[in-house]
Amino acid sequence: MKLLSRSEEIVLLAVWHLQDNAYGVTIRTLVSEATGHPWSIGAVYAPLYRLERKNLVRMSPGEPTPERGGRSKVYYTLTPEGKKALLRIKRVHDVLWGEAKPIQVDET
Amino acid sequence: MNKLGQWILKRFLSRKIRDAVMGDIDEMAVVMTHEEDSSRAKFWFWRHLIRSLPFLLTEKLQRRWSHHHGGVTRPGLEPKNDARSFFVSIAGLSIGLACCLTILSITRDLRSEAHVVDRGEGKSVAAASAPESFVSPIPALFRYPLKGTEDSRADLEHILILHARRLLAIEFVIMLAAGLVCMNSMLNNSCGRIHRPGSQRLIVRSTGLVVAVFLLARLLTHLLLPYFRFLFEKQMLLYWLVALWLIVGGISNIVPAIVLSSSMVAARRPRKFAAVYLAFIAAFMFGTLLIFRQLVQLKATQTVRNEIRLSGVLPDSAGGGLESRLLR
Repeated sequence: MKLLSRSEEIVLLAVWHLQDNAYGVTIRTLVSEATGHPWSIGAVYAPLYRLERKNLVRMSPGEPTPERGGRSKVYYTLTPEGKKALLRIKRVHDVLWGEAKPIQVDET
Repeated sequence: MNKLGQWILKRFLSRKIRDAVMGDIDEMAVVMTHEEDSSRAKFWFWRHLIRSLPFLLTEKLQRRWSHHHGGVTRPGLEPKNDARSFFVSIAGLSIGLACCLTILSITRDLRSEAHVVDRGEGKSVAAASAPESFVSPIPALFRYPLKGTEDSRADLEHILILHARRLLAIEFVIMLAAGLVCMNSMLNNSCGRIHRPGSQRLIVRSTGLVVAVFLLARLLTHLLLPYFRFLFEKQMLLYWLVALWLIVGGISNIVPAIVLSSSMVAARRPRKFAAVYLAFIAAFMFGTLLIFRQLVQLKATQTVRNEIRLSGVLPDSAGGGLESRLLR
């Protein structure tokens, strides 16, 4: 399996983090807070679209709400393949960070 | 959300996620309206929409291309019965690929140390002031008349090199796509309809052809282009390559096929889409050429400045012999 891009990885992790409440607005808010810069909604949906094509996330329609102009939400959940991919990413990070020396930044 | 915003989003979003994205933007806009005044909320909405467009457009193009590109390009490899149209397809593809490879060469050359902005190191000065030593598949392309000196342009040149690299890389991708679409033969006449591949065996049959075409393209790039100046006593300019690509593209249906492969609405609104697409490509290419031209001019300026510096550093006693050898 190919490694995911950075944005795909972040969005996939955000979907897992939000569990049953993962839709566009919440995912955007979470990744914006986590990365420290504002993501546009397009920047969230582009990786979501790719993840869905790779069968790592699944879409399911939600309920329409008045503040959304009567439009339905689309919730995202991880597929079994998505969970495997996330575990693989974690393993890669663990291996690389596990053997690495602690980082010391010189402020001078 | 106002009507124009809705209309723009409808153009760029797939039906599957259209409602979800528009609903999300509405939801965020409601929060913004509560927190800020309405004018700031409107400003936020438009800023957000514009920032989202590149992602949405990329996603749409990817979706459409992956859907239709193969369908448009593959049948062009089928020899069919018309040898003439087959020849045009193959020749078009070869020239298209040759242009791609040439542009790739330019991009690679721009990364080389010979084009690093001179910050006073001897190596850069030597490389810039002795273009003969610069090994390139297309050396004549970089030789332009030298004029003008301005020190303040060094930073601008650096920025232009970066922009030119990016633009040329993007253009390379576009031209590569065009080269592949060039397989679409005149016989197929793809301007009005999308062709589906007849059978999977086409792919197997066409593998040898693809290899042959690629080899021909390499031959054109690495043998013909470097000797162009020698044969015709003229420089092969980037403009000529682009013109060549456009002419071949016109003959062998590159552009209509690109439009077709990126949008399935050919049957519904072919002219409107084609016009917008062509205008975009034309503006993009024109912009690239302008930047490239400026880059070349500034690089030439840098060369003159290096020559002047070298002249100033050398003692008079060393005189003509050494100086002329260094500058040669």
